[in-house]
Amino acid sequence: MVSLLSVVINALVLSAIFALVALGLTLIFSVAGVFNLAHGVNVTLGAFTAWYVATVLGLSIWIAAILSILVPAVFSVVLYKGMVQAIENRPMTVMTVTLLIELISEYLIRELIGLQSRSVPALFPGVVRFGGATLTVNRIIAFFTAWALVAVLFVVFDRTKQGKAVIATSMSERGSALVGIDKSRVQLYTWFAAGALAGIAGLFFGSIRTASWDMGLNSLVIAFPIVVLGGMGSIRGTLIAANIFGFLNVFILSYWEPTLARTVPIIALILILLVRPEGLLGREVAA
Amino acid sequence: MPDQPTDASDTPTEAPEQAPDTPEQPMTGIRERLQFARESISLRHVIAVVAFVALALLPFEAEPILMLKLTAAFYFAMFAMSWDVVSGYTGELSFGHSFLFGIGGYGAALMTLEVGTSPAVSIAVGTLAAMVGGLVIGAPALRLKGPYFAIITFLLPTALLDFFIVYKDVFGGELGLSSPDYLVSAETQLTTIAANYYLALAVLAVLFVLLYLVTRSNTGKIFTAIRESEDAVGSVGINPAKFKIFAFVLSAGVGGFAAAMFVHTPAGSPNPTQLLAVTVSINVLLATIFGGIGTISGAALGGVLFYMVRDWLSDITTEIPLLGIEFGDVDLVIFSLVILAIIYFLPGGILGGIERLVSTARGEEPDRVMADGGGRPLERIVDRYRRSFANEDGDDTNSEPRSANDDPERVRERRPEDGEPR
Repeated sequence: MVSLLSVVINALVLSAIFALVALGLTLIFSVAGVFNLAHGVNVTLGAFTAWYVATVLGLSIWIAAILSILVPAVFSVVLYKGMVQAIENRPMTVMTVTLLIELISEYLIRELIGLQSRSVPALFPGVVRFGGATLTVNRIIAFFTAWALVAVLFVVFDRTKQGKAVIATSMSERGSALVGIDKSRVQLYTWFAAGALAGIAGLFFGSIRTASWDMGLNSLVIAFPIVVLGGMGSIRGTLIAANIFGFLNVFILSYWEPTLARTVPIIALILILLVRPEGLLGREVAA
Repeated sequence: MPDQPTDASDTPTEAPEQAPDTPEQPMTGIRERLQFARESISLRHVIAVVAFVALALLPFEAEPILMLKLTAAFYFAMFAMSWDVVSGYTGELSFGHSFLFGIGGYGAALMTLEVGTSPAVSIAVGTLAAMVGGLVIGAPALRLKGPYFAIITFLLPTALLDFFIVYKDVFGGELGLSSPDYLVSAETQLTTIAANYYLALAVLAVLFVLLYLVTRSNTGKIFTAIRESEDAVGSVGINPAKFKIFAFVLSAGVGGFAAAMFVHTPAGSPNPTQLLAVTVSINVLLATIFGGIGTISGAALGGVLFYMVRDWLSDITTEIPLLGIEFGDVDLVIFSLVILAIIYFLPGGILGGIERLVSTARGEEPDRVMADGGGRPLERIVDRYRRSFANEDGDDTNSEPRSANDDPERVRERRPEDGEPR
């Protein structure tokens, strides 16, 4: 059986990556007021861009990493500009449209790349021993990169005009318009950042686990409980919830039935929505 | 079921088209609209009757394989109609109706296979089980508004499928169960197929009439009123919760019954691909949008057409230029793109499109009125969602999904300001 220490470390790493996916989802929700069901596409794109550039084209993994951030970010912006912006006042239509795009992308990946999963080469090869557990350097880097990005996000939101504009828009659309914030530009920042974060998450998923055609929908299935438990639009809540569900996921995978690693969060989500729909820190961004 | 509680008999939602209309009177603008509404109903009737007769005569000409496909298409159309009752009428968008089909189909198949009851009994049990499932889905809908509810429904079938995979000894996992006995079977295979074809067509017709009557009754008007404004429904002394639960149980009963029948035919078997996968829920949604949401007839027409067109597409082996993929392998992609185009350019679906063509040809103004009065169902669902999402102007933002609709004061205040173009 796997040692408890390595399970805990695994859970910490995975939670950090989940947090990146969920942050994008919650940012888009709080700024645009829509559920972006195509958010999983960004994760898939990140992973497969890295795989394609590094393995098929044989370029350096660093070029692959940069592209795996840029491609989803650009895709996300194009999705917003091209499809969502025209219907952004109709959240139900946005949900339907983005869900269709998610499914279309899944089918295309399946047709173009196939059903078997691919692995992205490690950014940093090598292993270290830590208190009886052996872990790859790659995982440690993934963990610290993810948290560094979260720290950057906090600095951006607290210190920069653009970040403050994002928070202001999420608090009150009308109020932010009154003080001269251009909503469509804020939307662009948000969709770009959300795509980039998800792309990085995809890159890490690809190199720690594997890149597979269904990873988009699967990360969406875990991101929704995280976002709802954390409280829609709350960054701190999302970070806490990501760790809760990350640990839950890894512990179920390691000690119980692997299939249930997807089921338990879904059932948890339903219970959360029924008992406490505002989540843990639902009012944080707004307050 | 169409006869319904008396407390609803004098509601403001009673549609004006029931008023006696005397054509001799000078036509006012409203009257023209009512006239149009009546004509659009009759056009629908014509389409329905022609399609039904054509389908009833078909077995004398068709290959058995086509009959099998059409049988499956009929059951798929029933799925689409059951989705339309909840999502098109009450406006509670469900992304996971396959949860109900799965319960109905698997429940019935397990009764036949494991308990050994006769198919008829099994179908009854499966239907009841699905109705209980409808209660399970319906209960959160009383508390959660629009998008949150949609997310729950989206994830429920996945959870059920995982459950089936974990207990695959009983439920057969990803492969599903073996086919139970057919409900009707005959000496030769050809007769069996034809008998099941007629059975499916008959069940489709009966369920269609049932749902058509329910949605055109006062109950149906209350469903529509719930879609428009739950507060308004509550304010005239009707309990919206009761009617939402009824819509869910009715939808689950129809969907579960169709699924339970379906697994007892040569066309279907209890497996995730046909009953439970995410794609089933999405296909039902696509088919209904394709046909025209919130009309029942659109769901029936869209369901049959969607199934058959997809089947036809999947047989095309021409390669798509540049990509090197066969058309048939990406049929769902192509269909999804078509639906995307319909969402953007033809919100009434193909039925709405046909009606608009006909009315334009007759020189009438483009339709603004649906069969039950008011704007287009898609527009109204959209509007309803926008209101439950519209929490951007207060400082008590984002966290409380119920706040926007719970307080009628706020809703009333916001509406004029919101004036986005639809």
